[in-house]
Amino acid sequence: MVKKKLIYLDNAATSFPKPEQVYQKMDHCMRNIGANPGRSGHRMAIKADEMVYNTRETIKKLFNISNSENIIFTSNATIALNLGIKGVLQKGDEVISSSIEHNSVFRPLMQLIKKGVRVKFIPCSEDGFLDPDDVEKAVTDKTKLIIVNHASNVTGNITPIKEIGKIAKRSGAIFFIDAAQTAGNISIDVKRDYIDMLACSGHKSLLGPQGTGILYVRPGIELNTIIEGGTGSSSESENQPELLPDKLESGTLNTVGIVGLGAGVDFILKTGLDKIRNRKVFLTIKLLKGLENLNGIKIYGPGDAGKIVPIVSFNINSIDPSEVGYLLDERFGIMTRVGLHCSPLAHKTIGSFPKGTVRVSLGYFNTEGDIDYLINSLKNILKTKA
Amino acid sequence: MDKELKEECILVFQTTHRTLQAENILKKEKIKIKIVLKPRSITTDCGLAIRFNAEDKDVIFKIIKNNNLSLMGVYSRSGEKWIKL
Repeated sequence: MVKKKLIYLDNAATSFPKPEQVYQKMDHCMRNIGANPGRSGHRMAIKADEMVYNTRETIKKLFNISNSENIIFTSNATIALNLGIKGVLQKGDEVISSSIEHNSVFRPLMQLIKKGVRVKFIPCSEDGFLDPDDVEKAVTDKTKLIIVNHASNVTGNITPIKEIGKIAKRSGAIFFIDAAQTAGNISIDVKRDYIDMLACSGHKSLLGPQGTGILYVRPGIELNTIIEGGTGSSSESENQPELLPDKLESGTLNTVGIVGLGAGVDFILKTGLDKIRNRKVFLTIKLLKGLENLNGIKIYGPGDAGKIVPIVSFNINSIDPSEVGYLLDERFGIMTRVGLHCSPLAHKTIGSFPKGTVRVSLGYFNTEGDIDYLINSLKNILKTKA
Repeated sequence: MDKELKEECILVFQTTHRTLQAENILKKEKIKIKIVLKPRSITTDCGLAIRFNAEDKDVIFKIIKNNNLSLMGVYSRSGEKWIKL
């Protein structure tokens, strides 16, 4: 068999490749600034402190956050979501969430239900859309938290968070968004969108390395800690410090990863989020057009590039999605993700449970040629399977 | 730089983040400062403090106030002791 090129179309799992400066900054950091930030106070430790500080300042700009001390570094979005969800909720509290949540929100909530938290999962439409009117109907003055997926990792469908944020603000509930698929993809402004808390990964569209995640907590929200330990501050005290970021950042930080994340976000700010978004919408339009022309294709989600992040889930005829994914990889060198994507709830909502879908997710560095090649490869698979 | 910092004074903040935030702002204002370890006699913290010249005190206080930085304390050295100002 002819050796094929390799095409990465799994950017919703993690982005690849990263901008060149991400590799360079991480390499430089690891070789030259290997000390532990917030601990020792020698020149190298201070340099490490500064690099962590600078990354917080860079991230602050992307989300229009007032004070970067409200940005917490975690090892991924799941940890950030757990810190936030479990830091807010106690027995008897009422929560509103949705039927497109990823397991990183769904499972912590299911665990809390066992401990006496009450959760209403608002049903979404068949294309995975959460209607703010349905949130409005469900909210009561007892609602402590509204937590929603900003964009589904299965359909890409973007949730109108500003409208839901307004509802939360009126009712006095804390508004928490899971921005794993949107941070670095579309504009997020914590003030404009009434966001009280935001969790996202650093290694997806923020273009940082794996092992990085972010939690933003608005000033005035006091979270209970679920992890305590060494922070380098207030060491004389038996108790966890009350100030952020220390309160929620026990243990040694992933300095190298954080530096890489800073370089990724810096790339986004310098390139311009609008330019990145336009490029991805352009590629998504091409992808959708190509898929729509295939025989026996079923595309999930709204099928409108303007309404989604660059994620498209589909199935072809009755071919098992795992087989399509396998053939794309094995025969054509195209990497996609098949199955349930850690979101059984979303697949139940769109009617693809338990089989799942083939998911193609684009990144800024994908090309039109990548999409042509994918479509031709799918045609080839259809021909041989017919 | 140490030589330039004649009378030793330090600014102490509660977290490393706040210390670096103040450092960045003061540096932008061209104030001569240096990041040092918090003296053990003030706190058992492993954290950092900002050393500055006593003559810049008033300017620094003004910058801190204008930028809403929450200062934990200001100390001046007297022999081996640090006196809270």
